Amino acid sequence: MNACPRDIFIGRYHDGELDEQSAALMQTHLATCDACAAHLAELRRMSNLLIKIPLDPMTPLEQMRLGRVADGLAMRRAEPAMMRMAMGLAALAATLLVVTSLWLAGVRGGAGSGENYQQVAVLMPRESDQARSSLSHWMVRNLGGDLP
Amino acid sequence: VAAGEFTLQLSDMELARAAADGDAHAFRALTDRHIEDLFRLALSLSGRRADAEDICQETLVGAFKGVRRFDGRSSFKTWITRILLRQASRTWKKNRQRTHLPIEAIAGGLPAAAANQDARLDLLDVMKQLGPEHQQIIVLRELHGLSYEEISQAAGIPCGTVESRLFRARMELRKLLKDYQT
Repeated sequence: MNACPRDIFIGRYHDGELDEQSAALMQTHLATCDACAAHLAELRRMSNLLIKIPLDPMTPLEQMRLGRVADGLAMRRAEPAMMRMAMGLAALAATLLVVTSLWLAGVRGGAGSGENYQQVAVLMPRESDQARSSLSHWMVRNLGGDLP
Repeated sequence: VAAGEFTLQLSDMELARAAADGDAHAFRALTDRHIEDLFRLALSLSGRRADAEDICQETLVGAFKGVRRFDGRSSFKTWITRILLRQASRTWKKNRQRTHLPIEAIAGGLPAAAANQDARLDLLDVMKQLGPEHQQIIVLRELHGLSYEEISQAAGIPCGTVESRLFRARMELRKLLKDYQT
């Protein structure tokens, strides 16, 4: 940092952020201003030092682990959609089962099985009555001969 | 394989839209495309491979959650870099609370010349003494060569602030390097 008013543009010049015209003007200025030239040289030295820090690439293991994270996240979004689809299919299957069961019950019961049961319930006593009366007739006819 | 070949032809924006719609291949393709750069940036900000990996993981989680909100106003790389910078700041704050901060070689156990290793340690040691904002801007500009505009978008600060912050960061770094060498 120096007393020159153009010092504030040195950083932008160094970083290539000045437009062509301003960069040309700065270049001219640098030829005559020792303070700005010294500042620029210092910035260049620092950049050259920092650029030497090598940024080693990822190891295959690191790459694999981060890939798994990405896959896991993506699957998490896919899972609810699959679950929704599975639940929809299950609901459809359950509905079909209930409807089919009701339909089958309707077909079997269409002949009036309820009425048959009713008839049996009503007829049974009649049959037993008939049987009881025929037994009593038999008893009178066959066993009552000796009676006075 | 077919899905992989297909995603290679798509732009970041198209992949981001597909990922937002739940396409698992698209999110993986985006990750594969950018993870190397993201890791290097995280590594240069944290200085520790384990921290860099954690930062990248959190960045992926953040990107996945927010991918529906990605509108393409900046590039996908800038957008995800912004997420990474936030995560790196959190890690920096967490690490600062540690009583002892081990300086790990950036190469992290990979074979390297001892002299180079020492130089890395020294520079990292100096870099770590910068505040998080100054460290961040130096890393983005000097190590990764981002333009002021790209830094502005990634860090979420105006271009003017990038310039002034970079100026102050360089002043601080210059002082630290001078102190270090004496």
